[in-house]
Amino acid sequence: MTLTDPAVWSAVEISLRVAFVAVIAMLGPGVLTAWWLARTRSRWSAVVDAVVNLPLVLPPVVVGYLLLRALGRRGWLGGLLHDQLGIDLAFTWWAAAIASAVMGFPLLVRSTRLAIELVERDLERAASGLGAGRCRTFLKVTLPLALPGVFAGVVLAFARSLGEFGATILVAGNQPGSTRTLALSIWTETQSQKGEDRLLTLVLVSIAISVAAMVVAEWLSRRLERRLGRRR
Amino acid sequence: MARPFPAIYILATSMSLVLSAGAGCREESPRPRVHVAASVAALVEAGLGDRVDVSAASSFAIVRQVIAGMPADVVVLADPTAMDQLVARTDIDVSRRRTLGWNRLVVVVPVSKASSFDGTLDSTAGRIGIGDPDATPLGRYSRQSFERTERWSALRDRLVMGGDARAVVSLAERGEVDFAVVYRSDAIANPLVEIVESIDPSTHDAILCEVAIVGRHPDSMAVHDAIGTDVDWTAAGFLDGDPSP
Repeated sequence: MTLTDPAVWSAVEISLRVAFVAVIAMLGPGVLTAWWLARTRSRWSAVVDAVVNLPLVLPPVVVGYLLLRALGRRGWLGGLLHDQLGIDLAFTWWAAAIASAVMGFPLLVRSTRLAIELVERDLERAASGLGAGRCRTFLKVTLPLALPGVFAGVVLAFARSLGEFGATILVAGNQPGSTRTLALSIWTETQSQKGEDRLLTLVLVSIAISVAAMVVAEWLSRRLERRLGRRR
Repeated sequence: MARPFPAIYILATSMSLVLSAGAGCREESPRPRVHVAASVAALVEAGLGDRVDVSAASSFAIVRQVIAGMPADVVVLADPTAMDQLVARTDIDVSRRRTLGWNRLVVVVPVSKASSFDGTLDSTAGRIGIGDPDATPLGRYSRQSFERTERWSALRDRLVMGGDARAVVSLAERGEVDFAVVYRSDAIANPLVEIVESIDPSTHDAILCEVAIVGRHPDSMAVHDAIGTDVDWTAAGFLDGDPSP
């Protein structure tokens, strides 16, 4: 066990940074999409629903390849950014965060949507009856009541990001110090010429982080339930 | 709700069909399993593709997997240190180790950028594709050369790493990097990249490509003897003779 190995901590730092950025970036769009899907009857609902859930059913490498086609230098967005602004997204940690966000998005939306659908519409009607607009009703009534669901979605998306491999390796590559996350480090160690030492450390650290995340999530969700007065 | 029976029945029938088809295939005698470094996969495939099962990966990955018990009859590796690791194992019987040829490192640029290119790797900004030094012989040699010429720390932030030699070439082919450090054999016949610089072979270990038998398939010997003789490796960019500079 080499807990002082800088390569291990670099991977941990990158993994956490990627996961946090991915979750924060998808939170707003995710909640809004879930709300729209839960409360709007439109012929576009089915289409949006299918697109949002696509990363869940597609093989991650397919998502990675599509992202590379979009963000790479020959992709429509990546090409534009590279030629006009000199910015490269593919093969940077931003690309890893984008891959994580895309893969985690359906998990956040599904969980949030379910929670919003369970919020009693009478409460929303009462709010609007008292003069609250659609926006205010959402922020003051729907969202607070759906918060445990949002939170569960965030935890799932965060965990998905920590484990994300297939899409990340294609669109972000596997550079130590910039895009080599925990999952990619473990993969690299299984391919390398060196021994099992670092591999074992990485596996244990990865298990520890997942367990810690689960414990924190459980604790926070209990607090949340208590605040909402739903303690069982 | 519809009764679930028909769907389950169809699923079960189709699965049993697939499984019995699979069992039917297994009756054939298996072909020799040849695991080759990604940089020589196309060559081996061209010579023996219809007689053996060829799978390509980085040499280090092959060694790790063979040690872990992956069935293999013949291996072709691009790094003698990788072969040494197999030889050092008492549970793996490595026989008839033979050098097929040696290789050199070159710097390539995507062909679309070749006309506008002048200068060197060091003087021109841009991303550099390289093999992962921990996971590929190509990367190990490249890093060695950069370190011995004291450029590793200056170039490190510009590197994009590929998981095997093939992956590094394709980074350059697709224009995702401005340069790539690849094997001469991979660059020579590739119309999508152009060689702009040769790397001094005295700055890294000799890049020897070796073949050896590691399994017990009855055709192993024949396959081993055919590799390197059935296809002209020198025409494909490999070098004969003494690799010492």
